[in-house]
Amino acid sequence: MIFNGIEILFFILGALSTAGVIGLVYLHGRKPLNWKGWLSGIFGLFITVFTIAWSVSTILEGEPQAASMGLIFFGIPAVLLGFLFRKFYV
Amino acid sequence: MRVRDFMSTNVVSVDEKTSIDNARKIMEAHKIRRLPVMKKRKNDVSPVTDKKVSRRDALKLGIIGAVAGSIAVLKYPSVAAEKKIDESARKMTVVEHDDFPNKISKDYKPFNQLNLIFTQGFMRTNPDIAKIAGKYMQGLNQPGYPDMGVGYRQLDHAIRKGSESLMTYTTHYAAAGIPGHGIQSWEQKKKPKNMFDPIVVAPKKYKFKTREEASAAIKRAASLYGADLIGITRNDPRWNYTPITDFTRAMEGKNPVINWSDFPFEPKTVIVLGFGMDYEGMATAPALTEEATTMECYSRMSKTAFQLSVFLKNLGYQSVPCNNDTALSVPYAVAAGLGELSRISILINYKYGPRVRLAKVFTDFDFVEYDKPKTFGVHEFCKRCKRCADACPADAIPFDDEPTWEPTHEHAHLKTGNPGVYKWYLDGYKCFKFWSENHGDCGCCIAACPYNKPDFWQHRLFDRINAALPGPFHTVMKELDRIFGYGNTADKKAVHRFWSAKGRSYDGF
Repeated sequence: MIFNGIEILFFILGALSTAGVIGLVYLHGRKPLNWKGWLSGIFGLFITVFTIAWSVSTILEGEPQAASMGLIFFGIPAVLLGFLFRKFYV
Repeated sequence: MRVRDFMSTNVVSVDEKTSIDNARKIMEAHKIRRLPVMKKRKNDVSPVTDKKVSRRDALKLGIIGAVAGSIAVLKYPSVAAEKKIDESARKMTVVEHDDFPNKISKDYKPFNQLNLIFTQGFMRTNPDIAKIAGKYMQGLNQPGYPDMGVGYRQLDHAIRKGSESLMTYTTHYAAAGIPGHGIQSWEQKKKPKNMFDPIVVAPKKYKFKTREEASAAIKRAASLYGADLIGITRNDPRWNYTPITDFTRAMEGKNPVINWSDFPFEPKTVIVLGFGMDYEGMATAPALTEEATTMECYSRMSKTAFQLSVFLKNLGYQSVPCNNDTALSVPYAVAAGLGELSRISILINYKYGPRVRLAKVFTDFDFVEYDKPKTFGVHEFCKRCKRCADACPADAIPFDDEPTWEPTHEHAHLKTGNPGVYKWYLDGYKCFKFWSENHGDCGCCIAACPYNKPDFWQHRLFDRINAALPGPFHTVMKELDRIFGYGNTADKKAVHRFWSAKGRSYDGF
């Protein structure tokens, strides 16, 4: 094994975060985002990345219930922020 | 078709002396985006665009930025973001103390080892505890262990015996507090027994230049020998068993009491060694695989403390390695900055939580830098959490909100806990009785504790958040810990997971 699970996870999370920020900047270029859009976008991106990090990490440590609860506790707010971002952007 | 058919005539241009402001005005007036600059010396044309930074400028800036960044990284490697964040979090959550962090009563007396639950049981000074001890040993030493279900099979028993074997054979069961046997001998030889005997106090004392250098060398050696945590503190008679007891002497009809005047030298320093226990093994509590995990640590403790004592002897200083014998390990570990006292009456370490075992090395060497006690919010968290008390199958851990100066449980008269320290007092009688019924020790309190987590980033993050949060939030965090599925005990799945080959690699690939 060259990379372990956690190393691969954080590499992917880094790529996802970069893509997310570029996406926000791109959308801002097409149509300027107001402060609510930026807030919901940045915070939503952060919680999404955190949810993935939490759930995959807890699977890797052998605690699947913690992964499921992580999806509920952190994933639902991430989805809600996604909807808010869409509302503020469109 | 020629170029002239497409080219613009009467091209608007400027010369190189034209101001930028004028050039901009010309471009706006003619509604053009590019403006040729006609140089006088050469007849070349250099376009001026309405863009603030040209591509060439961007490239130059990029190169300059990269070079500056590289120089900064090379010059200041220690200011990496990770270290900065970690240092800030540590400053916010970890407090260093000059004195012992727990309140000690003025009339506190050192613990008499005759009152230790094992001593009372194996010396038969208390018939009730002796009966428990007999039943416990019967469960521990059953050849051809009977199959009593998952976690209590011959397989689980065998791994337990393998774990404890090194400690048993080299120290005569020092986990029960027996001092000075085997490799824990108090002998301070001046001459080797044979040409290969390494256990000799060197005639010449090695002189370290500074106390810091001495501490660093001792810690490096202990780490090499297998200790996960190392702290150095002064010898403190308050934590030394007074008197020390060796119940195996009583079994041979001898006086079991050993006074400190019998100790081979005047101890000045105590090096405390901490050993992290396997998370998956502890999660199987109270099954025998949990005891295998604990006992593997006792074996490691015996080996490492012995090697460190030989290291000190070869530096010319007298030393005695100790397991659970000779002194109380937990207050020494607190004094040496390895963690905090908890509701379970054991140590909670910053990295391993309660999943840690402790050994000690007494020495007369004192030119060292002593560590300071550290706290990080465990005491406050324990007040509200009580998960250990909920999980204890023997009901031996108190539910009192606040610590007390003396035991509040029904077996206080047995004096297995030493009064005079403001803490929570475990009922040693109930705890040991459950061990005897369980055919092995327990560990449910350790497995259930929210500080018991594998070494993953998310737990380190929430430990720091917990330490910074005020009291009422601790109840919420404790409930979340339960909801998220951590700290389960008596879980057969945990035993299957412990033995499972899934996700493991033993060949290094």
